[in-house]
Amino acid sequence: MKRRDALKSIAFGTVSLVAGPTLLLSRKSQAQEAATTAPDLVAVRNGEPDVMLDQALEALGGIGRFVPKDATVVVKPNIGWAREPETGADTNPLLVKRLVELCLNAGAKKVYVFDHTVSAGPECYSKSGIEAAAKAAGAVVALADNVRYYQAVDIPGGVRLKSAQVHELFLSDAVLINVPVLKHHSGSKATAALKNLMGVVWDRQAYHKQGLHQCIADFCLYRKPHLNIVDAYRVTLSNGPQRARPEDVQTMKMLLASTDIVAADAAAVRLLKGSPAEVEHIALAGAAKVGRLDVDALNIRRIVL
Amino acid sequence: MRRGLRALRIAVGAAVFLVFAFAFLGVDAPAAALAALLPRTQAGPMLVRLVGAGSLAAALALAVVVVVTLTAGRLYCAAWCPLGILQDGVRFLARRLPWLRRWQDRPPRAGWPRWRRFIRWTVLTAAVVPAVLGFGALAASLEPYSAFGRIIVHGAWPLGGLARDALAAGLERLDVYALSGTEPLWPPAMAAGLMGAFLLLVIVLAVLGGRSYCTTVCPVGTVLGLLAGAAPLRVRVDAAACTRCGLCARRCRAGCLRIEGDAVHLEPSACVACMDCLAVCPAGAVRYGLPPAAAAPRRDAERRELLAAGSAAALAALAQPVRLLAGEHPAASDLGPVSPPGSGSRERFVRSCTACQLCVTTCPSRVLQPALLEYGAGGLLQPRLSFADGFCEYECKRCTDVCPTGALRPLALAEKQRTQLGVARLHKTRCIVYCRGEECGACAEVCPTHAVYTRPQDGLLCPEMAPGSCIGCGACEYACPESPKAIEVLANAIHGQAAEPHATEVPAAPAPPAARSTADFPF
Repeated sequence: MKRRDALKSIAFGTVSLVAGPTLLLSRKSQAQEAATTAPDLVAVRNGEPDVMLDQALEALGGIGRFVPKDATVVVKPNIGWAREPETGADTNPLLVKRLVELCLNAGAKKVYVFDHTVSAGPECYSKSGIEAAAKAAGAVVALADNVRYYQAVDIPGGVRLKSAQVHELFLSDAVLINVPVLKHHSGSKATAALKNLMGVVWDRQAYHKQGLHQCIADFCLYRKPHLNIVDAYRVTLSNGPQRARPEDVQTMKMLLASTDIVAADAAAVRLLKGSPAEVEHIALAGAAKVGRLDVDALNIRRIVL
Repeated sequence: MRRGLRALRIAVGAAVFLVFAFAFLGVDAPAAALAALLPRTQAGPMLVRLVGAGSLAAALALAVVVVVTLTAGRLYCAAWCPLGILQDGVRFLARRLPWLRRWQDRPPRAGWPRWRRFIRWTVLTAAVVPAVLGFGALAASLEPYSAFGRIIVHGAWPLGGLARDALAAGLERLDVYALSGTEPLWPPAMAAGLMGAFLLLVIVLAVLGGRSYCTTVCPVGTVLGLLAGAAPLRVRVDAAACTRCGLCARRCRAGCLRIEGDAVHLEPSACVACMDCLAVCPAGAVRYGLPPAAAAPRRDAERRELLAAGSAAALAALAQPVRLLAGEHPAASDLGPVSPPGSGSRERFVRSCTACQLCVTTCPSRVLQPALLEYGAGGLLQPRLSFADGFCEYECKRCTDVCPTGALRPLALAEKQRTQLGVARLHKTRCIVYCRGEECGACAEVCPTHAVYTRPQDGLLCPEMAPGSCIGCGACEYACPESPKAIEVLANAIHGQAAEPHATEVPAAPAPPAARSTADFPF
């Protein structure tokens, strides 16, 4: 241990000893403490999706840090495609199920799950297994395939994306939990946390027309999720995002969690064949100070089960 | 008993009508099941299916209708035809106005008018002969089941859809997402206009003349009327008990009952078995049943009609080989409309679709839209794939499941996923990636077979085509953000068979050994 680190530890320990008991008095300060001590990123390996989620959240300071009692939670998985869970095209339903359970156990008043699907909504919801899993856990599975759910908002400081029609649930003051699945992508090279937020807007075509990567990065200037959980249990390494062959999909049994959407993506794409600089929207979001791009400087908690 | 038959007709009719309306209005699962079943009991589509696809089930359904009509009269028209029931509904509402009611109940003129006979046979011939020759638009516009479908889909759907949206929005305030969010279907103005004109005709006829459409215009009604002429079970008036008060004739919605001097006439080919006369007769002289003693002799008029029908059928049968000899051979792919999966070829489709719109209302992606003149005048309002409105969902084959006429043959999902409706053409001179040097990939992302894929070049992912794997679903065209579209589907006039899905990259490396320590993380 270096001298500076040792001094830091002593100082931190002293502060904790003095402040700890008082902080523990309220849930809010407990959450604050968790936030100051928690790692920037947690990566879990070798478990089932639900077990890895439990571990990751514990390492981040517990679900209570994000979900206060009586909170409304909006969970945004990737349900873009009408494909079975084994294909890895959508977020793992077991992961969504466990997340909903944890939120409700933590005292959440209501948990919503939705995605603006690319294929026909009802087909995606049912075939992905997410609708059934989320409902079984007690969530309200909301719809997103009608323009009436969307409201136009301005994107402050957006370079290309100046305004967007955003789903009303994402506009609410709920706790936003982004649960993407990590995949190779034939259009943008990779998709994870940042790109998953295209599923809360109505007009995706506008992104493609105005510049896909810049629009994805711009959207985060409007609002960022409170927590990002990247599903890397089954990872599409080629022929993504939706019609990969079984041999394109690797059962990696990993999960990443971070409050920093850019850090989550920058680390996640290292599991693919590439590095964050090559996926333009991650680099652009990093440059816009949406989050941290410097994966090697992050405080990462690595857990092997 | 006499009142009971009328009540039964009303109850069955109302139930059938509601079930039909629900089948056409809903896209939810129970409606889909109804949509696949009910239309297969309808005479018009079953005749087309029998002729076009030689279906045994269609033959059976038709046989039931024929046998029922031959023995018991036009019960089918009374309570099984949705358009007939719709007219009864219109008449019921019109009778709430006293002055209309008085006018409707005026004493009828004597005799079943010859002009009605002339019109119905002319209409039947004018509809059926061109249909056999390959031009079915007139038959399809008059066929009652299909006409009812258009009234619901092009008229009630948009209005019903708005109501449904409002109801859904209300429920969602309570966090009940019970109704699917699919947006209402708005028909093209011309489709709505044609439907409106037809509906107006039906309403006017129903208000002024009850079931006039059924007795004078409807081609199905004319044929069933002919069969009903021979039915032993029919409405009968006991001449001894009858006081000649004429109440039955005034009330008759088909205009088939007449009191002339001392004689009571019933035109069995026009009677739609509504049973109103049974209920209204103060003397109880009207009954529905078998003849009292010896059967009445066959009348000349019936014989003439039979002869006319026979010659029309013979003409039609003769025309068939002529048409096949002169058959058109369309080019493999062209600028014409893309016909739905299961249609086989545009030519076959146009001949056997009655434009009932059931597939249009069932399609979850809204890609099926009624054509205007894209197929030519003969294909008016038949569905085509409109990639401005949606794309054909890879995992769906609902249209082929519900089509009652056999115009869309049922396909197994695997078969549908290899059916090539058309082939996409990529215009690199319009494509964002090639023109602006920015990544997009909207087309490749949605392609279910990787027929349009991306290739790394200069740090960008650039779209390319493998046309053999393309199935013409139009996902790429729908998703392309450029206008005009940088990728467009050209129709296959005759559907083809696509190659296996294209694979763009070598398979991923085998999975690394499971990580045993934190050093195995790539970050």
